[in-house]
Amino acid sequence: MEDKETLLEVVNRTIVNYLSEEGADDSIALTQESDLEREFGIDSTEMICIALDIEKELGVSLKGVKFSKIKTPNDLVNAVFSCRSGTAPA
Amino acid sequence: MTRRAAITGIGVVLPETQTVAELWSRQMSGVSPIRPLSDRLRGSVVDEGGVSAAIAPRLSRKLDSFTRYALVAVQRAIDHAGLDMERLDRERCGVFVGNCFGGWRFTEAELRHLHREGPRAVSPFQATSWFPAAPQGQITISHGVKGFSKTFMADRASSLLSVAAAARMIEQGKLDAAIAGGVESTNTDFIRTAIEKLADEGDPSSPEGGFTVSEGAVFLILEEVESAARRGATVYAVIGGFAMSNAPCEADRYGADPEPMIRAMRRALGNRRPTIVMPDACGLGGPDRAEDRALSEVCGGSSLAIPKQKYGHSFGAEGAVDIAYASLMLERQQKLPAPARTEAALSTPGQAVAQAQRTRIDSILINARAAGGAASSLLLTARSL
Repeated sequence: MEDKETLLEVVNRTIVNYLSEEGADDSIALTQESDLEREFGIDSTEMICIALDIEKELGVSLKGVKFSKIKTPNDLVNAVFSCRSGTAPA
Repeated sequence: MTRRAAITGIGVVLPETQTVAELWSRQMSGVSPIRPLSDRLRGSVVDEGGVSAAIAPRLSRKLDSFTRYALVAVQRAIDHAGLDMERLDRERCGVFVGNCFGGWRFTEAELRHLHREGPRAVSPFQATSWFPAAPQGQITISHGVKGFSKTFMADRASSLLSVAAAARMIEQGKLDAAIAGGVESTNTDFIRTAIEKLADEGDPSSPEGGFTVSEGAVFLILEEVESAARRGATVYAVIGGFAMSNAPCEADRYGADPEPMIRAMRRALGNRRPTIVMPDACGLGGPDRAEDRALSEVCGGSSLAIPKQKYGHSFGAEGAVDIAYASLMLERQQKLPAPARTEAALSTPGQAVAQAQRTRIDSILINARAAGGAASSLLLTARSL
């Protein structure tokens, strides 16, 4: 199972790819505590799109995760880690 | 003081037509974008290239094509009207949209994902992209509009209804301005199959005429007429009246009873006789013969104009196409070339004849029908009346 640092790389890359107009965009300044809604305007439906991309990339199911509580990339990493390890979703 | 609603701006996204100038000149051109779309259907389609470039990719991928058409046409209407949305009281501005089918381009692709890969392959934007009020939602979000807004689904009468409703809200003092019109995307397998069935019903039509289909978006800016004049806006037309009537028939047919049309036209006109009538002219023998009789009874002697024949029937956008043309004729006091055929042949498209003719035009009556037997009429008048 990947460690949290690796998961953070995957999550950040997925978010940047989603936000980029064409391919990866170095100008998107994303940190692990970035507020995804307030700083990047990511709404609830877009969060689901990002979650589905992460599911495909990592082969993990995020079913049961309360996405209303996901605010930052770190929150997403913790949710993925919890689902991977079989503990209660965030 | 009686309030009246004026049309002060026009925005279009139609096949081979992106500007008001192109909309007008299309009628003097011998060229039509209509071509065979299938073995059983002829019509015209929007070139998506110009539309896609006008919307940010992150937003565009959440939307069906019909919402994209609407957003671009609305911005063009706002620009055409010279309306400063930042200075407008947007709590007293509403959005009124006519649409018939919703968003099937997006939906057909997602249905394929569903059946091939399962439910988790369906885009999360499926629900918000398909539903017919999606353009209303996106327009209000994009422009911060917070006044009463509505979407009307009434087949080819949808955007006569939407514009009439917007005008009524302005006349009643509940709004000062409105963005009103209609939109449709028909270039999809599902919609085309449904329209082929509609076009097959009734009498056989000639290969060159019959029921043709189109798509696109036309939106108008409506303002209270005195307010519009105070800010120096061009008043293209004033909404003079609207009425709708019904004589139920089969739900998937256009009525062959002239009475609903006679009632709607008389109530919209009051005691006026229109200078020009823009008929529904659906392209099916029985319904068109019924409209011939209604026109003879109510408006005998009025000239005809059928500019939408250059494109085909655009369903939710159709009424707004006619309103745009009527507004231009009223403001320019120029009559578009009449159909070259007789009034008895509403089914067959006429060829453009000569140029627009300068003539006094006081009012224009527009007809539109809905499957199931509904008939509606909207009257536009020149500002001077």
